[in-house]
Amino acid sequence: MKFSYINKINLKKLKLYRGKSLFLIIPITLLMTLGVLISSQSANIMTASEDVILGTAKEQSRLIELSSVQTAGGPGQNEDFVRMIRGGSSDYKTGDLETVKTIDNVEAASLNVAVPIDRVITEDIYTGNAITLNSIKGINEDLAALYTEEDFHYITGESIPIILNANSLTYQYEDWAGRDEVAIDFTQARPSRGMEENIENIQNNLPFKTEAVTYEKDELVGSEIMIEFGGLGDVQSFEQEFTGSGILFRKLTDEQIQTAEQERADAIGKYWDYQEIKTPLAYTFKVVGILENDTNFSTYIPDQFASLLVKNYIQNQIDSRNDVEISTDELNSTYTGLTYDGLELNGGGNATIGGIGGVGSMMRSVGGPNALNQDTQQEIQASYSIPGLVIETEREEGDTDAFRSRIFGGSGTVIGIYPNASVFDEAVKSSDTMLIKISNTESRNQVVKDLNDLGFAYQDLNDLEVFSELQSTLNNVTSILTISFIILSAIIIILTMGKFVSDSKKEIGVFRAIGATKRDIKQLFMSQAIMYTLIGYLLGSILGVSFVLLISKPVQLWFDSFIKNTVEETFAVVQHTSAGTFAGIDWQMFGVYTVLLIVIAVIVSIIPATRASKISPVQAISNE
Amino acid sequence: MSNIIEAKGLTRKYRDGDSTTTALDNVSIELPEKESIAIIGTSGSGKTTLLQLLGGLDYPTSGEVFVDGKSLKDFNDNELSHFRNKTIGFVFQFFHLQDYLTAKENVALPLIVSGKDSNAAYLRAEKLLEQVGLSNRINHTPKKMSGGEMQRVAIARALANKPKIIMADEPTGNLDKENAKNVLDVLDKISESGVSVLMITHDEQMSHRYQHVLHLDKGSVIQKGNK
Repeated sequence: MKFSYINKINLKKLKLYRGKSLFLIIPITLLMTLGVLISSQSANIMTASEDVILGTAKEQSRLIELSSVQTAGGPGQNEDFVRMIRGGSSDYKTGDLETVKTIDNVEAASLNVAVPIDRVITEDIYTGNAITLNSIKGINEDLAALYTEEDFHYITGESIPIILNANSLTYQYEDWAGRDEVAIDFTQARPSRGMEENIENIQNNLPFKTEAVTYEKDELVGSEIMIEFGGLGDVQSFEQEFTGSGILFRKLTDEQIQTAEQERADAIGKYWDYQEIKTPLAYTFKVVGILENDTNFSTYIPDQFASLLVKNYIQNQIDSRNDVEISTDELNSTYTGLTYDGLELNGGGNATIGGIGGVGSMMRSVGGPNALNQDTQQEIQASYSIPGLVIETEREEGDTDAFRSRIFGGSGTVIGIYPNASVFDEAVKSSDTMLIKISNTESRNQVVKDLNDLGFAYQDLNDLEVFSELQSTLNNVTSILTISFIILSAIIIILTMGKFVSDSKKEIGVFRAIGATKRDIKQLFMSQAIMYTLIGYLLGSILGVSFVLLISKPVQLWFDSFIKNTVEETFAVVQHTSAGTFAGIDWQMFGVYTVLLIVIAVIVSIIPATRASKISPVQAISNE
Repeated sequence: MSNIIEAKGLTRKYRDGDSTTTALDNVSIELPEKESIAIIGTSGSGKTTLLQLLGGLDYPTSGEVFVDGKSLKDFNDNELSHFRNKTIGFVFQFFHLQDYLTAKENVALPLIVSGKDSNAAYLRAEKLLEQVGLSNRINHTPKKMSGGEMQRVAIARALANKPKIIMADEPTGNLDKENAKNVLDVLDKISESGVSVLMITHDEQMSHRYQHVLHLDKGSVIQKGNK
């Protein structure tokens, strides 16, 4: 019998016995649909995770963030406080940087130097609150990839990229709870309670409160914000007194505040243009990322801009100076600022005790550097922090009192106002964080080991596990799917074709009686199995592809939320998926299923077809 | 004149579990070419078994069948299929037309099975359908035809390959009187045209239509007769 006619017969059977034929066609259609759908979407998810997780991790796995802060988490507001108590002497210096750079496979390393500016205030960010930013650091644009996927290049005239820190997104307010005076007694702090608890007690008692700003990450990222640097804020609305055992905070009356404002204007106006020095520098930034982890408390701006910013900050002070000579006695006592000993630039910026509501800056601005050494019964002399003021001092070798130097600047003899605005660039840098870029991911372990050998504490978190877990899950899904596909399609073909054969005994008998050979019968049923399987395959392919496209959006939504719930907790930066990723068809698996289905249909259909060929032509005569 | 059918000592036993049933016991038959025979018997007489053995659909437990001078014993399954296709035309009680094929396609099937081109086969089928008086039913499927029409299509199918003998198993068993007469008339015409007809029937009346008669009962020949 001609093969073409065998196919013709099977087509005619399909037409007449449509319902029966669907028993084979529909399951194959479903299998193929599911096969295409699941394999494509798991491939899509795999691609997306590679883009998102591995893409992120690949970039990030070349970067190491060394931190000298050993506080191991805790509220960011206490970071500086704790470091201050501990001395903060563990900052990385330029020498450390050079050491790290000698390690094999370290491509680049940089200190993230804090910008030495006291007052950094954003405009209203989200809840109508201006926010004081602590610990603003310049970072190299290559290394910024650790925290953001966006471009971190500073371009003059364009809004400046900034990576905000969630730990900084807090605002401070005063709450005197109806009192006019609040006394803080340090002698009540007990070592048995532990430092954190003692700090908490003091904070609860203080009239200065801190509250986290609620924000919507998606809205904040990409938005532009204006940030002010330097300038003079409002005169503080209270005064404080050292009582020997602690501090007494006393609220000022409106008149007292006015007087203080006038006194400040007069004192500063003596040597500087008051209005000019009072006005902050303002720049527009574009938020390119928000850090939301417990180990990093810094806000990042491009290092090129940080350098320019500090230059402008100091230049503004220099420009505001009038011609009146200022005595060295008054510098660093009445007028405070940064100190520069020809090597290091100290004071300012994150040297404030941010942890207890900015009390550090209050203490300094009123108490002055010598207040602690003076007889407390003496009248405390007012002192003013001048934005951009750099006081040049003599460097005293062996001056390692980091506690003093961090709070009050260098202790050497005052020489005068340092006249060069580029001092930030010239000074030896130091920072509590160092970023290291490794030339390739494979060298990471070696670099970490070398770092540890050189005395830099660093422990690697295995972030890639999240990815490999997802990948192996998806691989399992694909394998299980493929195996199920093989087994199920084989079972379906055997069962339905077996039923077809049983139902066709008479027909087979007649065919045999009129001269069809066993081979003809075998071909008849194999062709039927293959034809119906192919029809199911075609329908399933069309449906499968359609479904992939149909559910691409829901899958993307699911994937995004999955990433949000899992990976974003591990990585600071996660790349975004595109909708097109989930509309992809896994043509490779499609091909595999096509070949599998055809091979299975051919091989498996031999069984019922052989059974059919063995049916005796006597069947045709038996008059049942 | 040679015999179209010659069988000697045909015995067919069926195993049914432990017991053995003898459906046909030592039956011999001879039918000269171009002559016809009626094999008459009640149900269970072994007449259908005899047709299966003579038609090469089944093998005898013992004995030998010669059709057109060839011993069916010498054929393998393929050759036997080929032989059935070329030499014999079967007509069954229940017609056994393929309901997914039209009358024409059903009739053409033996030609197509033998590997003929379908267009040539259809031409021949149309002619045959004309011969059996069904030129108006060429493209109808069996479902749209009466029993008599279906049986005539089946007869046309049996004639497709110009067989030397038509083996009909109770061809009128499922038909009313009028249709039965029609069918028998067609078979008579075939017989007259020189194609042997082997008619299996329980109807004693039929014996008059054929040159030879063989009476079977309980698997054995009880009476042989010639006209």
